Amino acid sequence: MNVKAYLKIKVINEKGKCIYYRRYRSRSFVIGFLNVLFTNLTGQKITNINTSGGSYTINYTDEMLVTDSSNDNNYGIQIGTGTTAPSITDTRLSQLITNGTGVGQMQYGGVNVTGPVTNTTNNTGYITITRTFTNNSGASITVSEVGLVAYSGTLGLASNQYYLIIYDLLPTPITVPNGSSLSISYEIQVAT
Amino acid sequence: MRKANIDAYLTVIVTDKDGKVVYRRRYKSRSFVVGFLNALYADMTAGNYFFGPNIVVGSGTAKPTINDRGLESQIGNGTGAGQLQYGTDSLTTPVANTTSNTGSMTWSKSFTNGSGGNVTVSEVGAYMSVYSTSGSTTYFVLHDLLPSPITLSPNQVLTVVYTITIST
Repeated sequence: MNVKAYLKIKVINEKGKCIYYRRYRSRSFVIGFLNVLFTNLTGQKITNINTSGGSYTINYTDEMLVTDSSNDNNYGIQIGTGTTAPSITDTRLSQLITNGTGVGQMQYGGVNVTGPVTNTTNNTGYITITRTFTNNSGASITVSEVGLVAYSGTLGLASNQYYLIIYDLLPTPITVPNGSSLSISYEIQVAT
Repeated sequence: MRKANIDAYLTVIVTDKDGKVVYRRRYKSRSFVVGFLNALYADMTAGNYFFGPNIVVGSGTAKPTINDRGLESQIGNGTGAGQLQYGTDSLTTPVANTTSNTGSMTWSKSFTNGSGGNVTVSEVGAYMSVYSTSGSTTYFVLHDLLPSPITLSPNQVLTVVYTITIST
């Protein structure tokens, strides 16, 4: 087997009760992932598209950082309201839900990545990337797309860009009531 | 709908001293190991980056496991008995196919038998490193046992090609 990703979605109401849970097979690594891996491993500079739609040249020192802080929607796990089917060349979510408490906004928590867990019985291992989004907008918000965006800007020679590496359209949009939170996890798994 | 993610295919090609292909097989690679996750984790959490691709071959026959840290018995580089001359790792630029919604790149390396005797290859694997400001770490990321071992005669060349694909 190779590398699979799973998408776990949970909605917690304001009383702390789980009111929705689904686990899907994530379908959509996009070309930005391969582009950065290629330049890292070869040192050859190629072009990528950032989340603003701009073209840039990848540097061999570009990172794949996803551990964004809270109240920032520039990278890490992002959510949106778009409904377009994913394409291999996608570079951003169709309709990003931004961070905040205004109409149609949700408050982005920090991104947490847990280290590899292995199971020697079934020869599998996984890492988990998680972020929680809280709806304090005053009304329900429907989430229909999810993505994972990386940042390459902490090292001196890095290109200082945000770029998409995974993109998923949810099979069923999720309505998050006001006062509730949405927890999204990507579990990236290998099997031997 | 296709269930995507990352797949790897392993192609092994043997050419004789005149460059003629005498053996070719393509397998679905089965064995990303935990080192791939460790490398990805290091990259995603600390502002590091990948470098140093290194495909290796060996003569071990043990079935790969998730916690493998290297080949069971790596064949050394050189022209001595039982050795192979390691070439340079080469990767092709990723190609996106918007019709099939797939992307792929290849990662390859050649191994020349200048030992004067036969050398049998039964396992293949790959390393990559992660740079951080506090130092670099090398991870063993792929390990495959060949369904059929390959015996290289003197002056034959084995080319190992990993094709890494993603699909949407």
